[in-house]
Amino acid sequence: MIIKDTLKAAELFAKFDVPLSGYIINRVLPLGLKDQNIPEYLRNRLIMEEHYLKVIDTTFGKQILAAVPEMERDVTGLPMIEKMARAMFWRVLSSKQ
Amino acid sequence: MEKFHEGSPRLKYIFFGGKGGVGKTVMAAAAALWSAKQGKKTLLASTNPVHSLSNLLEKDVFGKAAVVCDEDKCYAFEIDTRDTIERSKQEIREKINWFLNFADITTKAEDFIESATMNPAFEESAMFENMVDLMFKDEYDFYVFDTAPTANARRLLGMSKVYSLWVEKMLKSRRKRNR
Repeated sequence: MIIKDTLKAAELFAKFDVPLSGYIINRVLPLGLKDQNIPEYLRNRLIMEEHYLKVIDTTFGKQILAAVPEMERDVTGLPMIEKMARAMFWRVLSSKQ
Repeated sequence: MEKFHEGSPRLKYIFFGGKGGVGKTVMAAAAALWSAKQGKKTLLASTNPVHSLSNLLEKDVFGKAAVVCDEDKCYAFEIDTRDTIERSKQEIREKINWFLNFADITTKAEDFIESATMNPAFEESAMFENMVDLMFKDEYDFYVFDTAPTANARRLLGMSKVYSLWVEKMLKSRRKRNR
């Protein structure tokens, strides 16, 4: 649903000549968890995610600017925002460290 | 994202849009913090009438820009449209009163004002005015906008096109009249 809504949003923005630079995929569960001993519920979520990541890739392709993970807790406060920034821009930040 | 940034060195304004609840505010805050860490004086501004920056940053930033990180480069601000709306209402009140006087009508202007200013587009056009003011003041090196969910944001960002269409139409009819 979110993918379809995002496409719809892109159409609406295009109609008003608002340029889109790209898309960010948020709250990506670590697919590596699949190989671990995890409950059925989480396994299903991961299978679903794997499928949708492929759909997103074929739908938006090179326009995807970043994919950021689902954090272990809600993002509020500076330290968590900084962690999110690292996930979004990790190459630049890590090259400067 | 870093490639996009490197490829757009002149980038000064960035807007985060999308469906409600997908993480626009968090992404905008992360982008603003990152920009500030690159040494740019950055403003993270919310144009969503239902602001959430204060909650995210755990600091009150409603109606006034405040520093939100240690580097003193990152400012956040929830746009307060109340003054702009009040000012517009006052202008409309004066115009309506003038017209009512002119037409010799004794009806109270308030009813007209309420119906003219109660629609959601009124709030958005006030938001647009405040947003453009921020841009023209040019006090920051980089601006990150956290927008309202898609439909409202589209109306907000599309407003410049709507306004230019409107002005064009007015000019056209004026030209016709002058002929």
